[in-house]
Amino acid sequence: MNRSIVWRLIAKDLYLHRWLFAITIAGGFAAMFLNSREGVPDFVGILLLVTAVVAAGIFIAMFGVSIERQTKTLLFVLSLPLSPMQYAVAKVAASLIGFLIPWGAIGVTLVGLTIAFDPPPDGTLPFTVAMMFFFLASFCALLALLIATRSDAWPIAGIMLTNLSVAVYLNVVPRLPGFAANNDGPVPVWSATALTTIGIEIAVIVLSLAIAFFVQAKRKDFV
Amino acid sequence: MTAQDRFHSLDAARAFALLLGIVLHATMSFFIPLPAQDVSQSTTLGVAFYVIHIFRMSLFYFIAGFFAHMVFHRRGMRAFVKDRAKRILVPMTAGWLVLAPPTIGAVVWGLMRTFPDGPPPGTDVQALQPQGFPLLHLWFLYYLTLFYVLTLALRAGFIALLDRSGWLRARIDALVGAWLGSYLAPIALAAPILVALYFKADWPVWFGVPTPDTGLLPKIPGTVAFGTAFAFGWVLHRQPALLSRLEAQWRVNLVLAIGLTTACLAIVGVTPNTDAPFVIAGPTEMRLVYTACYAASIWYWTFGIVGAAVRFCSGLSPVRRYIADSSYWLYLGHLPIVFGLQAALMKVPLHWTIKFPAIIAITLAVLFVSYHYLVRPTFIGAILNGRKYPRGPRPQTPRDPGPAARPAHEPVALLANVTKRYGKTVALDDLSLTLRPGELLAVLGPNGAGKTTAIALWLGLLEPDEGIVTVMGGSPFDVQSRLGVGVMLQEVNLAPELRAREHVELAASYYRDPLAVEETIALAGIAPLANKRYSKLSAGQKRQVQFATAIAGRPQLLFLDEPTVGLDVEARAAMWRNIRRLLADGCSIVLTTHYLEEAEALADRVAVLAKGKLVAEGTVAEMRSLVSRKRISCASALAVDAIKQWPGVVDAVRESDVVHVTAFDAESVVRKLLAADAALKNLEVKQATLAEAFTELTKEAA
Repeated sequence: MNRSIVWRLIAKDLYLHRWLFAITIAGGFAAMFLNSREGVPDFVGILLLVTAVVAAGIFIAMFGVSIERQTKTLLFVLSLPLSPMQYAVAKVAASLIGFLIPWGAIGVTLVGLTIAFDPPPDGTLPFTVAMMFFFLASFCALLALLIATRSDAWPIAGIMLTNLSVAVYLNVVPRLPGFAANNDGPVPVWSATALTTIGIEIAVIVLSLAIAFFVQAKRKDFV
Repeated sequence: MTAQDRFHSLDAARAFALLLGIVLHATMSFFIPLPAQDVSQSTTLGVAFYVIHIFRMSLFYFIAGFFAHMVFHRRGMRAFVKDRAKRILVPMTAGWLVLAPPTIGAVVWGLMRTFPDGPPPGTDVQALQPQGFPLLHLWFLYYLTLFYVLTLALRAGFIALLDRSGWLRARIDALVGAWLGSYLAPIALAAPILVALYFKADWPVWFGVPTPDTGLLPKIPGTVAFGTAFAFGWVLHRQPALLSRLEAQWRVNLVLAIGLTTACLAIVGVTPNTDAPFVIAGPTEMRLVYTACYAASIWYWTFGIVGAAVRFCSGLSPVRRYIADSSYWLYLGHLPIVFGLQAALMKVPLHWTIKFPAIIAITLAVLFVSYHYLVRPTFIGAILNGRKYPRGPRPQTPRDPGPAARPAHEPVALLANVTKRYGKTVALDDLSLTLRPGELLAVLGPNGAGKTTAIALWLGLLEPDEGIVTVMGGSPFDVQSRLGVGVMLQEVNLAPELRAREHVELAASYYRDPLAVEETIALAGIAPLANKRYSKLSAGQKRQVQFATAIAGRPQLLFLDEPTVGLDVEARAAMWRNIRRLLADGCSIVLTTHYLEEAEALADRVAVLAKGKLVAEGTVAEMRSLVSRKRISCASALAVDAIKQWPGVVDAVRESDVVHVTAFDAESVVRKLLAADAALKNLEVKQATLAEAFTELTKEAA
């Protein structure tokens, strides 16, 4: 595999999305700052945080994959001396790195702040980690959908589905006994529920990426 | 597969053993209080440690013995000693001086954080002290040196005193071959370590072969276990073809290894018994059973992993080669980082499933970066890897010799009897097209004729249902074949955010031997546009930038799909000049265009498609001659409607006082014109244009 061209495509995508990273990270930090301010309702910060991460995922996936296909930029890329699988590797890697930069910055800061300050209690850490993995899993699922499908309807359906799932997740998962019983505690408890949730999310990530590569490997026509 | 090929597999297996060492050390704080006791303890990581510890060093020494024999016999005693001194002794001594302070510091820090109030009551403080010189993890180099010395001495004595003729060595070779033919070789090889461990009263059973990391006096279990592995590797290299037997047995050996390891864990438990580390629960015979299972599992693991490596990693892989080269540095440098991170993170309230991979990831990231920039291209790399790998661009593969050097009969691009269907629609129907070196082939046809499909097939964007497609002599799906290909498609877009110059730079970077960016910009005539964003350009300017990206890679084969659509007259003329210059430089070009005068002006040959079929093919003159009609022009007062009724006339139009007549039988029509109008003047008869030929041919096909 010509790694050089793959890396160049990755670098190109990251360069094109650089402002998105900055805006997302700024949004995430703003959310955390708001959350730490007295008098500001908790939901404002959480809403902004969720919006920043989810929007970053949608924009990166849409601009990186869907828009590139719609505007026929994909045809130019595929006319370069690279194989479709190299394109898929570059696209998935660039999108993942692109998402992991703001996701990682926000996630690490969130975990660090939770450990360093009280409130929030350290008991919220398992849910915080699970939530961050949920965002990553949602992003991977959307990315896989965009790579695996060709019609314009699928991206819209995928975005709606992943957005709706955020609301469902935030309403249901923290209320699960394995999380709810420990969220207010002074130490994090990595209950079976927490580990299972994270495990499922990691499985979704792996499965999504595997499906994306599998479909791309099977595809014969790119026009 | 040659024996030489197989050694890539042993490189990979050795790197695997060394990298597993990093994983093994990273597990420690999660199940024992060394170098620190993490708040998140894990039985899983304890089991991982147990399994890795069974085989990793025996695997390493087996391969070390194999390669030692190879180097010794290839390069001779003097070079062997010099090489080992450089690659083993120097890293060991220098490594110890550099690594001992931070490693010991990390351990002390971790223990102080774990036991801030001193050791727990009842702890044997004396036992915690190093029992001799602290070799750290560099003990493996110390023992390797001992094995080299011992092996060379034994070999010299063996040959001088026992086997001058080589008869005994031949018998040993035969015995090794017979052993490896069965699945019992691991059991025979396990016997020495079984004896050494079984009779060691203070053997901490859960921890297997005790790591001899303190004291310069060789420890018996380690010397026996690893010395056996080294010696067997040395002997096996006398018959490297025997590796194929391990390859054939890898599955069975691994299954047996897993089974024996499971039995061992069932006997001693999944966590170490710190209260009675030398005791095995159950009847006294259980100690023998456990030791036998443990010793045998060492060799089944070793054989299984080596066999799997031969099976799957025998080919040369640049990635594996890089990792194998770097693994020595990674293993040497990992311990202070791993221990430091364990001590730093021990109280962080995160689950081990997060911290353990984080420790490994951070350690590998630091070590890989340092290897790439500080080791691989420097004298340290020369010591560890045996050579320096200079940074910078890799040596380029030779350029494609180009059409001039290509045999004239070899097509640059070929479609042979290609059929392509979209559902029930046949886009190409048994189409054959050939582009010869250095020519421009214009592919003409009405919309839906199959021109774009043909180009998409050549670019590997589509796969034919039937037939053969090649570019530059290879498959279009082979990236190497497309390295000399430039493309300007009709319906494409480039990233709107980038400037024209950035697009050219980016496109050039995808190729091995591109034109200089400024040269490309000048050739394509886009200097005034170079710093403008693509989104700000007009349609015609965008086409010019696309042309620049198409030629940026210094192509030997260029596909131009409607290149002049949207260009003004001046830009179109410039584009034609560029195309002619590329042709003069030997580039072969496939051009699709709706502008027939463009094909007429540029093409060496023309192929006319209609409904996915090749209607006609030849030079422009040949195409014209295919159509028998001619164009007659004259100044006449005759009525065109009347002329249209004459036999042989296809069409007649008037432009001012000039009548243009298109006719099949030009001679008869000229005679009739002259007879009908005595005042007729400025008579002119021309062959049909390519446009007329094209219209005629495609009409016939329809």
